[in-house]
Amino acid sequence: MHDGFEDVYERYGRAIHAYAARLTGDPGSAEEICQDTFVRYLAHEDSLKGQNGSLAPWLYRVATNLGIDRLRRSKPMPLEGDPPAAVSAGPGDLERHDLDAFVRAEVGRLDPPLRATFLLHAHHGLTFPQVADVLGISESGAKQRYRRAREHLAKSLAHLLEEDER
Amino acid sequence: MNCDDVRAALSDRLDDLLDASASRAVDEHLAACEACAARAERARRLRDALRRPWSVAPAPADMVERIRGVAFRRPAPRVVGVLVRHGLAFAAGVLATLALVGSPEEPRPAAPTAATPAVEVSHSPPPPPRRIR
Repeated sequence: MHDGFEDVYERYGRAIHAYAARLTGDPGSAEEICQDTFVRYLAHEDSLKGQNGSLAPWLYRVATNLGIDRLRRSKPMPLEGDPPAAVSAGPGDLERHDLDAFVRAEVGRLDPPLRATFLLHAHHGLTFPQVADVLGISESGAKQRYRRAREHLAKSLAHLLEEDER
Repeated sequence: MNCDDVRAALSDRLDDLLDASASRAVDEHLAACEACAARAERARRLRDALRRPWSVAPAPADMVERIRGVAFRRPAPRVVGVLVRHGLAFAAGVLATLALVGSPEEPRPAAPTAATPAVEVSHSPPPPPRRIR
């Protein structure tokens, strides 16, 4: 079955845009990456039409490459939204949205390839074989990158949960 | 598995990174060990926090039109390309002519080779200064 472009965008556009926004932390970059990803899709539409199962990884791969290129060219930028002022939440006053803000800030501090790995699996639901396909690495390499990202985040955030439990 | 093994494997267990037998061993230990079960609960909270996607601004409503606009943008008219090519050829011709007519500069020396070292060593004494009349 051949989907028209609108169908493909309807199915994947929102996810690719959200992924680009989380990867770059910048709404303007997210729009451009999303646009360029689907422009490239249209350029390769004929060859991609028969590959329904691999279309999502293909789109994520293009968006990832565009995003990482952009992150490497640009200076570090604050992620969308206000970053937490400091890790100053006291015991018991760590609300869920505060924790989410800390997570967002810490994810933004990951190296771009680790950040992409983490986001693809944890937030966008790709399996490790799919993450590996997107990033052009082995499945064990994708798992290893995910572990490194998770360990960095856990180290940065674990004390917040421990304080919150006291 | 002892407590240390389980604590080391806990995050992998929660992220489904362990094989079936290792997962079973962790689960059996957690069912019998309160301390590790409490630690597992904290790890689960952290895992849940990490996996909760934060909201982002939605894509612009006109994104499909934008994509089509860029993808199907007409290439520059051919006449422009021809003019550009001819303009470049003309400029190249002018530069070549200027080079042939000659420049006021001395011709550049050939690149130094083993036979002609970059710094010329003179073995004869310099000529005497000309007398000023």
